[in-house]
Amino acid sequence: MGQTAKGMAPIEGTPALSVRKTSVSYGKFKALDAVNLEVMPGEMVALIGASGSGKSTLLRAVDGLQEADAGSGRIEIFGRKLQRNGRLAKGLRFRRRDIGFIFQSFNLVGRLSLFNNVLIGCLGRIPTWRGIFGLFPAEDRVSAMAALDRVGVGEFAGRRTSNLSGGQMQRAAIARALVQRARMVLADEPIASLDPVSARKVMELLQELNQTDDLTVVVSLHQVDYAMRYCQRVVALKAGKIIFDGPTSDLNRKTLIKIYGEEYEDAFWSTEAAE
Amino acid sequence: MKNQIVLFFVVMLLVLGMAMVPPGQAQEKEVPKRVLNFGVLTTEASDNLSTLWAPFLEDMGDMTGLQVNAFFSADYASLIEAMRFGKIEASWFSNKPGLEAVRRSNGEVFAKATYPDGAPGYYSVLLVPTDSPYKTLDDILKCDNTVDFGMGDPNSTSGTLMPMAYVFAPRGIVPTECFKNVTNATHEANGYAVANKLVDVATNNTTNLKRLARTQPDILSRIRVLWQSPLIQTDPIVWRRDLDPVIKQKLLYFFMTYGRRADNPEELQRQRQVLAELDFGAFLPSSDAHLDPIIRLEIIRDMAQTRSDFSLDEDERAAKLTELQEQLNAVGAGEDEIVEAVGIDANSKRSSRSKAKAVPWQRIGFTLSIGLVAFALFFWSSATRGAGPTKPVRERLFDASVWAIFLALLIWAYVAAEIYKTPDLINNADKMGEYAEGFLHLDWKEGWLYLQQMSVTIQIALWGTFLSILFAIPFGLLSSRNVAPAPVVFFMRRIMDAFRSINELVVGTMFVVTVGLGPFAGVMALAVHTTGVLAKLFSEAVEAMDPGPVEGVRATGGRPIHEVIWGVIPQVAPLWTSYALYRFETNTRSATILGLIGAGGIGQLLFEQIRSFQYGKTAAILLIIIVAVTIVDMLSQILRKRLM
Repeated sequence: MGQTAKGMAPIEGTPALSVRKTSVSYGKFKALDAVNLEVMPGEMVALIGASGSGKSTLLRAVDGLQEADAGSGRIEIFGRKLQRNGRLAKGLRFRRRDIGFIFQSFNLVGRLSLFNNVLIGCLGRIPTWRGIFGLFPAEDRVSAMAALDRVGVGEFAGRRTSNLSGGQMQRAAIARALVQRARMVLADEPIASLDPVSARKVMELLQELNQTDDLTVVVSLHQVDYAMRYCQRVVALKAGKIIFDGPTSDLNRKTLIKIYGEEYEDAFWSTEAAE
Repeated sequence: MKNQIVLFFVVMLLVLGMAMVPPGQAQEKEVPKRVLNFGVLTTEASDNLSTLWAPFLEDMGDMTGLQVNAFFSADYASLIEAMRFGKIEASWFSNKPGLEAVRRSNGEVFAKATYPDGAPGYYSVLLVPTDSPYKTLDDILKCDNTVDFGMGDPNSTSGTLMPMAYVFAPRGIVPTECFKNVTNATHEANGYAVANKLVDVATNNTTNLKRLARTQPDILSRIRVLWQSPLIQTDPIVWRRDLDPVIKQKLLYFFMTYGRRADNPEELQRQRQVLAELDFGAFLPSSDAHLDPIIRLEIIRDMAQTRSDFSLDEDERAAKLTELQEQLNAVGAGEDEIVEAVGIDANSKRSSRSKAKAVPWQRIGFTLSIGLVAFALFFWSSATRGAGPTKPVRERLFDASVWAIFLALLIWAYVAAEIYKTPDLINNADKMGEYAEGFLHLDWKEGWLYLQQMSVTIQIALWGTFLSILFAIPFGLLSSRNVAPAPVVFFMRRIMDAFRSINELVVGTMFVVTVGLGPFAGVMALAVHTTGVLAKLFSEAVEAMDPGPVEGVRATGGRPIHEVIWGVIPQVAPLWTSYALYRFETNTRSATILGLIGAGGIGQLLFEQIRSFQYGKTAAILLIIIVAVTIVDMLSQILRKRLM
């Protein structure tokens, strides 16, 4: 995966992800309030915060799935504009190619095989007509199979996706990001719908992508203990504003109460971790 | 909620109860007028014939003092049957249906029409395109199976009977064996077909040609008359033999004086204008003898057929011919005699004409008050009593108004839909039985032909549905709010609404002009209508899908077309297939109706048999349709179950 697209070489010191003064409102409700955030290439960042604090909105805005408020801010990916002043950039499709997006509800196509779902990952870089007729190049078929094997669901490649378990689907979604040759992975609550064992497998895979493939990973998490175990940096959101941004080791009782309120222990999956 | 449902049914029962009470009793205090039901045959697809007849029928009501109810039908079979069972007491027919009315419906000819120029009749013609190589009758009667021939409706005098009796029968020619194709259609459709060279020769009549000269001279300029028949009598006016003599007298007086005598010249001029609009001159008295030439036509045709019927041996043929010859001699020389109208009082007073139609205030008031009462009842009954959560007043008001409006609409529609006629269903059940009896004698003589035509119908439905699916996929996607931009959706939906709301018959007639009579016109008619229906169903499926997978495809950097192909289609495919199969079933049914406009298939046979009063054959065809539709239905259900 070490291949770099033409003209895409990261400029020294250019952040993988840069969000400036970006606001998103749903009617009167401000989901994001002038957020600033920078993530450097190779980082693994956890995004935490209570429900409705703006984690999903932030990630979706970064992938251009959500438009920012008119006239607000600027979002750049590897130094290239994605949206500015609330308008999506022209080459949005090509920015998205670099981002693998992992959804809480997997967002795979249930009636297609796992293999075809993973091949969808290469739609962004093959000729349009090939994508329309499903004529995927041989090398992509090979890499799709390899990706499925790597995440450990290769044996289910021919199965209809809707018949598989949540954990298997989420791993296939990660395989799709691999076939996409993404340089950054945005994961929106990737383990919220999974059982504990599958959740750990998925987090380990994300960590592996970050460490061995040198992918930038931003993952929003509901459970603080997962954030503390897998990520070096934590960004906490509350009411659309970033209220904490620092190394995981700086998280203490006081900051957690600030983020979650007095019932911060509820944000841990296991009670021991909260101690 | 429970007592609301009970209440609803109580009110429904009240509404149905009203069905037993005929309206108008409350509305009209004065002595009710004697009702006369007058039928008008609208075979010539002339523009707004009913509007043209309105002033004439109004005058008929005023001058006779009867309440004239008009019935318009393009299908004479239904008019004749209505007359047979006393639902119509007098009617304007053309000749062949008039003969059927006399034979089957206890009818009697009492008057006949003339033309505005006083002409006593019209002529049947054969038409060819102006630049056609055919110059004489013999040119088209070589019988080398190269000519496409357009025949009229099976019972049409000028469209079928005259050409049969004077062109084909004397020469011993059977049209279906002589020509490449023989189609049946109205005069108007045949006229267009010749002008557009969709057929080589077609039957027609001079009345239709005159109309064309007036309305569409360019069509007329593209056609040429190849052959003209002997004179055909004008149309007869028929009444039931058992009509009340007093009413007979009033009617006869009206028909004999209309356009001939009036209180002042202006009135006379107006009456003549009314008649001219209908292409009529003044009426002449007549009798059943008016139909003798038509009976003679039938005998001549039968004789010719007998001569060329080689399934009979010499003796049988001779015997039959003698018998027909005797019949021919028995038929009078046609009606040359004028029947005098006797004993008519010339002083019948004219009632004043009321131009404006009265607004039915009573009906409006009644509807509104029932609506209000229902509203109050529903509102009262929905109040919370005893334990349980209280329902917000706004919700209660809304629910009560919905039910009240529904009830008020039912009552409003009560008169227009003639629900008050419900008792007739029971009172006249014996008539229905008598009519249905004809269906009991199944006639399978042409069973093999029916099966072949049924398969044609299914094939029409198959292609009609297939083409509509092809178009419904893009149109359906473009009318889905979650796929296409709002202005496109609005635009597409209105177009699909139009496709859907235009009846298949209308669309079919439009295509007859371009692709000619036959199955392809039917295919196109089904395709257009079904595209409208499927596009709507398809778009509803798309709007109900899970947006997640589409977003998944979008997030990989795919183009919008990829989102549709990989995100939308796989999700909606099972539902779409199910809808398409369902429409195939429906279209198998609809395709039979298209026979009405000559679109071929079993439907055409069906309507030909109904119009020739062959109820035994009609029943056999109906049975085949029922079996075929059931089989298609069962097969597609099995398929649909597997898909879901």
